[in-house]
Amino acid sequence: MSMHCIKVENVTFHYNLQKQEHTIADLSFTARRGEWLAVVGHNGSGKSTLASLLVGLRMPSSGRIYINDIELKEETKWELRNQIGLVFQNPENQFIGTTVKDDVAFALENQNMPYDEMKQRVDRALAMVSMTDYADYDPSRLSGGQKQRVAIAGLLALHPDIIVLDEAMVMLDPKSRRGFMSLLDELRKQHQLTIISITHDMNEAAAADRILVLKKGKVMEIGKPGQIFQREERLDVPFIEALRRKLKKQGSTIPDKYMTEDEMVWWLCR
Amino acid sequence: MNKLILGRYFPGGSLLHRIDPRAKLLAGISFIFILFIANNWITYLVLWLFTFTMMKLSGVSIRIYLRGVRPLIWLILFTVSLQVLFTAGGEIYIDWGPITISSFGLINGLYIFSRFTMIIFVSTVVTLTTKPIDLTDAINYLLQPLKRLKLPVDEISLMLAIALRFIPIILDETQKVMDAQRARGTVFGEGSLPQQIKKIVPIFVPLFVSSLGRAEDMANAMEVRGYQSNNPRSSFRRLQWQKTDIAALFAMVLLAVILFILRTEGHHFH
Repeated sequence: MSMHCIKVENVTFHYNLQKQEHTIADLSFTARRGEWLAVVGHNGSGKSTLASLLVGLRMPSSGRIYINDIELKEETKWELRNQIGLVFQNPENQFIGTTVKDDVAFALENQNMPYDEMKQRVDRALAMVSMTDYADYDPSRLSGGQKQRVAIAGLLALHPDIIVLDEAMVMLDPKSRRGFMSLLDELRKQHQLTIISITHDMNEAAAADRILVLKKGKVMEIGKPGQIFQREERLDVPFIEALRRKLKKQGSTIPDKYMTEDEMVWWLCR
Repeated sequence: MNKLILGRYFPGGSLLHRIDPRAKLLAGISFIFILFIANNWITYLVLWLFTFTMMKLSGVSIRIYLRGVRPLIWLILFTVSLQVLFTAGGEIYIDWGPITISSFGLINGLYIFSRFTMIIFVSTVVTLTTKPIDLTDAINYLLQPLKRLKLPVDEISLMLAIALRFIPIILDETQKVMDAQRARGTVFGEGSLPQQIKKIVPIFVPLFVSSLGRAEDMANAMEVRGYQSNNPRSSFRRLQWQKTDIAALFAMVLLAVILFILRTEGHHFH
């Protein structure tokens, strides 16, 4: 297996065949196994379209997408769906089961998996996201953060390699957002998961290994958060970077480079 | 909407709650047929005793059951009065040409009334003690033979299950839309009938729009999680047939036998 878990090659996509305007235009990038890649961009930059292309909900007009070296096509998409999962923005609309455990089992039922194996996988997936106590709850009665945990459990039960988050944290409050992110990070380290997180929250993006800035369906820039935020003046920046710039403007001696939260705290308290 | 009792589930741990949904559904349906065996006061008495025992066993208060009858009371009274007014025979109390009130008419009316209310009570017992999703599973199981006729039984029951899951969500949403309209000055439940109907339109339009949006999201979620219609699926929810379930069905047979013994031969009443 090559190092690249996801390889996107010159992908083009447009919704309206009559218009020449491309939603995704000649897009290429790769993601390593175990990497957290954040995709940022303004509304209409093609972020969500990219998510639906990656999981095969839509097929590119031209170009290729490889998941674990297998090309994503109509014929291979069902097989590849065991390897790549998608968490949607609105958790409410992605639940099919009437209880948490039924919902986690849904994808397994689709695989026609025998009961005993399903049971084992469901229990394990719920334990991984610390939702075991809620197994018999109605998913619509859970809090936003809990719902997204259940959605993740539904994917983990399939033992995927890649999880795509399509603005999955928009509906969470800051506290559950932090909890959810540290959970994902932990799972990523334990299971070598690749995470593609589509977001417009810069604080969320700052936690990624790399950031891909999407503009009008094209890669404007891709790189480490530090580089991106330092270079991109127009981009909204995470809180810490905004604070750094403000301090700089006020004439502080703060270093002229991107800092993480810990670095900032250290610098301020030194 | 809270007034609707039929189709609601009351959580509990009674004997009836523990019976397999398939057994309950079969027993409930067979009760409707058994009702027609009864043709004299003693058989109706037996049926009433049976019905009350079931209501008692469910552990749900009588008041809830009465609320279940309320929406249908006018239909019942209408049918009963037709029976009373147009049945001749026996001792005649009032005679206005075609309209008579006779002893046969009164007795027949009473029987019809009993049948209606008992059907409602017993079906309410079934729905109050069975989770909707378990009922769906039971329907799925009982319809399995129809698969031979190429009827998409699994798809139908999945559709039912999803519809059931969305009922509370759509109700919540209706409430939200109504609140939004109220905030803009709409007063519901006032004015003439056409006026009231007009006020409903601005509720339905946003409701339809959002339901269609939800449906699309859900279809995408199902596809990403590997759902393909016509593919064999295993089932995570399992129904277990126990001795009590056989006993329950046996009780129905016993009831039928008792009624056959006690029933009046010939046709005294229609």
